[in-house]
Amino acid sequence: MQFENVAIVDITETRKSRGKIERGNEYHSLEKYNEIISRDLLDSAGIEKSDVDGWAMGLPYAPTDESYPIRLLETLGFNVQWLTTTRDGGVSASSLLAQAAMAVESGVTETVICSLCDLPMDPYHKNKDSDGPTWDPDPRGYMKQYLLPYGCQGPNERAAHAVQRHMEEYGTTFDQLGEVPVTQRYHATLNPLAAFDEELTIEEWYESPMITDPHRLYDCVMRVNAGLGYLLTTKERAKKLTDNPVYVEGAGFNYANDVSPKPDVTVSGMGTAGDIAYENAGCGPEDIDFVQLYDDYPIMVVEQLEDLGFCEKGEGGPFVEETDLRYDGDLPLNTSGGQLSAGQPGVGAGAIQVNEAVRQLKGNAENRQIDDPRRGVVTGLANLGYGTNTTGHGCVILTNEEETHA
Amino acid sequence: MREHHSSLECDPHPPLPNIDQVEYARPHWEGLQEEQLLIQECSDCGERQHFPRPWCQYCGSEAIEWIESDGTATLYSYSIPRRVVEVYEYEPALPYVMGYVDLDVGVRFVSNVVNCDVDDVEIGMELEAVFDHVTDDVTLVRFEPM
Ligand SMILES: [Zn+2]
Repeated sequence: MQFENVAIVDITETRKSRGKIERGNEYHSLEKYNEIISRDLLDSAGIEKSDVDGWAMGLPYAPTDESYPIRLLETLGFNVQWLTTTRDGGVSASSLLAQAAMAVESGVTETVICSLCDLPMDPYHKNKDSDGPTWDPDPRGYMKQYLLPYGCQGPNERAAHAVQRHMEEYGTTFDQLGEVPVTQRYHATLNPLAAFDEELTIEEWYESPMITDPHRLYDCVMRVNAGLGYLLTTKERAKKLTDNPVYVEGAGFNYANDVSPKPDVTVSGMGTAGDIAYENAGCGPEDIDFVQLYDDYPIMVVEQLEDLGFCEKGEGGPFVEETDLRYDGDLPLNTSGGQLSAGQPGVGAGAIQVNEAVRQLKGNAENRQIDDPRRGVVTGLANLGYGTNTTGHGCVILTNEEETHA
Repeated sequence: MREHHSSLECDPHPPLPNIDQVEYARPHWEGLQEEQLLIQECSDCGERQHFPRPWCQYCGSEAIEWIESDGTATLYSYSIPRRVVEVYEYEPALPYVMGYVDLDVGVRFVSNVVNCDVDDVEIGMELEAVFDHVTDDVTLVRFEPM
């Protein structure tokens, strides 16, 4: 999808909390998180609550009920003419961004708050067996019927098959995969909003315990509570509200890409989503100044670099080893630390990527600011499927250059 | 070295599927009880699929037949859970092997590799099915080295 008349005014993001209130971790309710992000976005744009006429909301993983989105708007006193919600896992952030952009572009709404607030580590509604979140699988879905009975241990385990296979087919090494979390943690040391901001060495990464071979502890995202959001409006209005709007140049999505009976787990549908986004934006990987790639696991970053054309399939390992991925390097990657360091805030997971791209393009990334970036790629991934790779993919190309479509 | 089992040690039993709630998949579970590994095949386009679907996911035909696999397979990929994060009942079985098992009849089955030391598991190993009657109503199929 292409956009001619829409812009992001600003983004906002709270501190992250592991939700352990008994250890003094910060706690906010969903309503409070939504109030915080609304207030930040309104203040930053210098507008009133009544100026917002649309909402786009990620449905939390924390327990809510059937009319939650409307009740939340009522609770906060928003009176809007357009509302959309989404719950497509890690694609939610890029999907909501695209949905809101389409709505503004169509004229059905002018000024939209996108909200991605969640308590995946809800201290008041824990899983009975752990300190993790409550999770009830779809009682008729394939997870409940065919995966949990065999002891599938969540996405850590399902993504591990992709690591194993990438190593087998392409000779990808642990040294190469470890580059991703180590580089990203360096970025997190420069990000006051990151949940995990202590330096991580490759030696410490090697020594971290195996969770499910070949995934180590530092390969696995940690869930955090947080609120994230963005404010979208028309280009014309955005230019009045901010000196440095960010434009949505293109967006592509792909769901349930590979229905073959024996899927290749080293490939995902990100190639398809990325091709659509590149075509919309009229650009290719050579025109991209930085990437904020959905990073639930290092292997997913490596595979996306391949699928998005930054290197050939199978070359992702050597690519991350030979490319300087730091904010001042050749191809800056996940310059906020990504989810591996910032934490994974439930339905807001992919907004870690969206927000950092907007910060960089607005020139607001402070001590990790990329030198004069013009265009960046943001992605979202969702659902490691049955015996396959991810089955939800979103790719959005953002720019700070207004006239980009020929 | 731990004793080998064709089951995974599990207390009291694994999370059970809701067999009755998914009408189109019942032949799969009934077959397992009879120690038959049944796979869906489309009578119109001839493609096969697993897990069971309400129609052919390739051509949309409802003309689904069930064919029997002889249980022979090759290991496409695997992972070895060493900590439980979702299925807590499997904690006594740690470490165990989750396998992406490619059946010779042409579909992938997600299951366990059993009767094998976890250190001996490798991609490409040849496997055969073993049936594990975990309750009176539910039989799972796991795979062991040939
Ligand atoms: Zn068919």
